[in-house]
Amino acid sequence: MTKMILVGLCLVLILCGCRSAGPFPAPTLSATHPLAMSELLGGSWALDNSTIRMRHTVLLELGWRKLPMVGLLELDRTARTIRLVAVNDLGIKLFDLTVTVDGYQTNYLFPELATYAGLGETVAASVRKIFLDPLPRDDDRLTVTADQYQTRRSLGDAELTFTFGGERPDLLGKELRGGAQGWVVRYYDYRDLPAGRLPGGVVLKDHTAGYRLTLWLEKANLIDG
Amino acid sequence: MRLFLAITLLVLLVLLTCAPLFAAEAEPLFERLEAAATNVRTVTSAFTQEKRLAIFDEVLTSSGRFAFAKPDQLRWELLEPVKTGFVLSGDRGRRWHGRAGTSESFDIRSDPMMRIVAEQLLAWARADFGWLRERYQLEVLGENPATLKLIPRTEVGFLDHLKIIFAADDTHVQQVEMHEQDGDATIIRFSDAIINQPVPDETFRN
Repeated sequence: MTKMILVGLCLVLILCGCRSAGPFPAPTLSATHPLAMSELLGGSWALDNSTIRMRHTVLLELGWRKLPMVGLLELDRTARTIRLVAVNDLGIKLFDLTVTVDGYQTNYLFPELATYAGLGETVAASVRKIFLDPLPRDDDRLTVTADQYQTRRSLGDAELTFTFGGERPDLLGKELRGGAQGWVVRYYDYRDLPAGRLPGGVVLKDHTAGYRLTLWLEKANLIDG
Repeated sequence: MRLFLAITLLVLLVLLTCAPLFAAEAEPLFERLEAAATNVRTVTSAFTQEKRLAIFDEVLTSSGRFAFAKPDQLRWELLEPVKTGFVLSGDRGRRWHGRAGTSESFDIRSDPMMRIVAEQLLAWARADFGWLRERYQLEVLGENPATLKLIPRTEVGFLDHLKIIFAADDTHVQQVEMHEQDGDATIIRFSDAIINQPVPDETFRN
């Protein structure tokens, strides 16, 4: 009997773990209905062409090291660039990066952070995946389940999946599986703000590189567009 | 020629009267501040912190509480917009992050970032001018209240200078400004300071 209860508890924990990540509640899903790809992608913040500035509380977990910071990020969705400045709790600037679809530039890196090998590249790759690239496309394959929409495309021997769900529906996740890389981004807690409908929480897990990045949206402003 | 001499004298006069006091001339002021600090055993205060980012023309504002007890106990705690902070007792401390729900211990001997932060806060809380003079060229911008400008003696990488304003009674720092080479600045204003009241040991544990 005790064994059954333990197994039951484990199953509950596993099931709960699949629906949410860390500090954010699982998104509320609703029944799907027939949608054209253009309708699915049309309202997504990721494909808008305005420029927004966001302030996040950030936790970067690199192995056993935890690096909390405040991130100020300007996302230019027309030029497809990101300018990102991060400061610590005492206002010390940690880094300043410019991120593009296929590269990044370090404008500043706090000297003591040089001990974290590859920090700039890790952060640049993370914000690129979360906000910039890859993005869903009209020619992706669309699959509709009872409560989710998924678009897929092959990238060599890997598969890229975008998941949408909820009443709107919102972009809930991106995932790359197979091949040499493996990572997943989950978007939570969507809010209607003057800057648009944006995720209040984001979790990126890069299984290959072995790190996790969590973002809590504190503020967002529309810069133009 | 007479006009030239007059202008030269005027310029010299302006330069002499406006020139800041450098370290040697300012010794009496440093002695005054050190003497005031000698009598300070504990300080608690509120603070607000503004981070001005030149690239975004944006100010990040936060607020919290600060506590110090001689010789080397600190608490630095942000309450808004996110609860986060650290306590330090000697070389060892604990930091926490409310959003992330994390709490972890650290040792400033093996954590360079926390060492820099702790050294700065302790140096100001103790008015440790010996430590400060080794690292900065000190200029006195004003005597009442004591206002100092500190220029790093060696390249720190980002820091252009610090500006420190003491309270009118010299017992504690009232404002710290950290000006960076790229135009960014951090301004920390301390308020409601309480001096030499008992601070529970728990304040420095978490």
